[in-house]
Amino acid sequence: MTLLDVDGLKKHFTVDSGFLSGLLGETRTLKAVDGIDFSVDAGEAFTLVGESGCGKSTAILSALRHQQPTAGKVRFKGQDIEMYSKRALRGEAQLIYQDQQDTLNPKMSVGEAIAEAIRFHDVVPPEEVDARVDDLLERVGISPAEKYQEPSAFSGGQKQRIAIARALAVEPSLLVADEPVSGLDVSVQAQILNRLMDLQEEFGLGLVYVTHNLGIARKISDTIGVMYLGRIVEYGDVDDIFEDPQHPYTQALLSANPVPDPAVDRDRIVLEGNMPDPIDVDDRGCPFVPRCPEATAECETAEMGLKPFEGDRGHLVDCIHR
Amino acid sequence: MSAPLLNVEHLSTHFKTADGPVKAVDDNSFTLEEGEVLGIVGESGSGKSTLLRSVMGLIEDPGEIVDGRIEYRDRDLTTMSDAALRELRGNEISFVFQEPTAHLNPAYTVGDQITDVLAAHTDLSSEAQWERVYELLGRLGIPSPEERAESYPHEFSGGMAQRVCIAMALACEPELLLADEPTSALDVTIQAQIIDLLTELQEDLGLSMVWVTHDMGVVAETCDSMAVMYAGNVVEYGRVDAVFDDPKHPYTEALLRTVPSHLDTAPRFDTIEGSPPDLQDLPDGCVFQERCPEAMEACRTGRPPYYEVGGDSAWLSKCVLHEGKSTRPASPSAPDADANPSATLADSQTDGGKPTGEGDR
Repeated sequence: MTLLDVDGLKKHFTVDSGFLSGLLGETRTLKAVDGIDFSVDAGEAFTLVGESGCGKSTAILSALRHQQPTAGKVRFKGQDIEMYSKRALRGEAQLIYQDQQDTLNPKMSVGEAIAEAIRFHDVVPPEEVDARVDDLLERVGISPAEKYQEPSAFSGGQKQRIAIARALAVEPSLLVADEPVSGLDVSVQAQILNRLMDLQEEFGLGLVYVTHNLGIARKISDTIGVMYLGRIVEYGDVDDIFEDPQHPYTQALLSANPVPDPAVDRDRIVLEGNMPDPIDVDDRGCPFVPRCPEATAECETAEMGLKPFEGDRGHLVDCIHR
Repeated sequence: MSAPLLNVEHLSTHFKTADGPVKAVDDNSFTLEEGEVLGIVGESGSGKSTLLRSVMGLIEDPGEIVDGRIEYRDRDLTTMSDAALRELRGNEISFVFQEPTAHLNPAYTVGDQITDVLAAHTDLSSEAQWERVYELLGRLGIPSPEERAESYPHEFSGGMAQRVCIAMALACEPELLLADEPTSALDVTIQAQIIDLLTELQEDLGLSMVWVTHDMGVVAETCDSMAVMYAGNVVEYGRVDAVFDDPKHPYTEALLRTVPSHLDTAPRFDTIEGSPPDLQDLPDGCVFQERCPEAMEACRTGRPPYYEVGGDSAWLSKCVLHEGKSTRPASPSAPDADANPSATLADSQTDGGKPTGEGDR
């Protein structure tokens, strides 16, 4: 079953460009997300991969109505997402953020924070709430005896486990995680991500994961979308893309990522320059042109859009040379 | 082989607190050969930045180097006067940090800041200083250097600002560049640019470098030798190829298994269960014992000395699995090892570097 189906999603911001241009009525548009499509099935893990500023976080926030999108259609379980009440939507789709400092109430014990979520969404009868809290904490590897502690008593990794327990407490069908382990050390990351993958499989959850870390994306995803400047430039099965990337940006990104093995000899593609600000991006042509090693005059005016690579409808590339 | 450029022996840097010393760096040895790149790798809180700052002479109260030697070209930096250290820093030894903009003055143009360094450490005329600024910025791949020298730090992107910091670090043609996570704040494609640039400069200028990072991928791609840190201890030191191929400390082995690589297709991540110990309450014996799959009784008493492993006197492992191999002699200034340091922790001296009696190599 398709849980989340995103079609032509755009999120533009109007940028205040100063007093004078304000007087002259000039406005500039920052196109954080500029027309993206993706879908996530129950039990599927989809990852949005990209560098900072590519729009990956804004994309999921606007898809789930944490921000009002500028354009696009989003369906949840086949129904227009606008039809869901906020409460019903949060009961179905739970978000986990990078920094739990901001999302756990510092004055509330972690057990109470989880219990509150269970009660709010009427997940189980009141007399079963305590047992459910204990069960959830155990599942994420926190001793239920610690549930009376406030968040400050826990390390960053433990807080992230607690956040996962709280997200699961409402029995969502979709979990959305925005760089949930990027502030943590690799040994702690590994423990949490394994746990997350186990739980996702056990409950048949859909997962939308957002990260810049290609090592994590490889393991956690079934499908990925590679984002650049507000657009998905390549989309498909994670192994297909990592083993045979087609878009010049994906190729450069994968080749630039350091591999922890000195015996692997690699040809790095080093891109010049930076990803430009997504302000006043030309609607015509490919936004990757200024940094692309394969750019031609045609690329500057071509009609862009994801197209099946060599007829494979599961592997989509937004490049006229493919 | 000629004498190493930098030879760190049994270095310990502790921070005094009301509850006893925090042993951020505890009995560490490694060397850096001339013209080579040494990676210091470890997770956050392992003491890698404190180790680097100790070498820089930038440890401030309540921190203190309590033991050990830092030999740079046969001079011991730990006993050098502040004035002599300052002269060395900026001239022969310079630094690059993680956050470039935090180390540039926002109120001055980058050209002014680089000429300041040149004025402090060279006899160049003002005109020659500016010529050098343009040359440096151009060398570091900054387009139109004469214009960009007039720009302020905020006008540069993260990658470009790091290039400016590297230009400043190289202004006085240093012998040794100490870099603390110089690419960690940058995106992958920008990191690749800076790695390529630093590697190229290092080779062209014959620079020696110490590169602190948490990223095993960066170590594999840029370094000749590596020091692996855990809970204030360099638990293994050796050549990068050799250590990756056959790690001689269980922590190194575990860390290498855990690093997520985008080429790895296993369904789950390898893990190290548990978390690092509290630096104020380190266990007696090996610092990794609580998480170590190989831990045995011998690991629980006395910090292991550096064993010379792999048939190489410059490959060191602090692990009793190598008992019977020769050990690196303890620091001459170290007291006899205290077998039970965790009782009060009031003693601010190191408990490491336990002499084993078979210490000549």
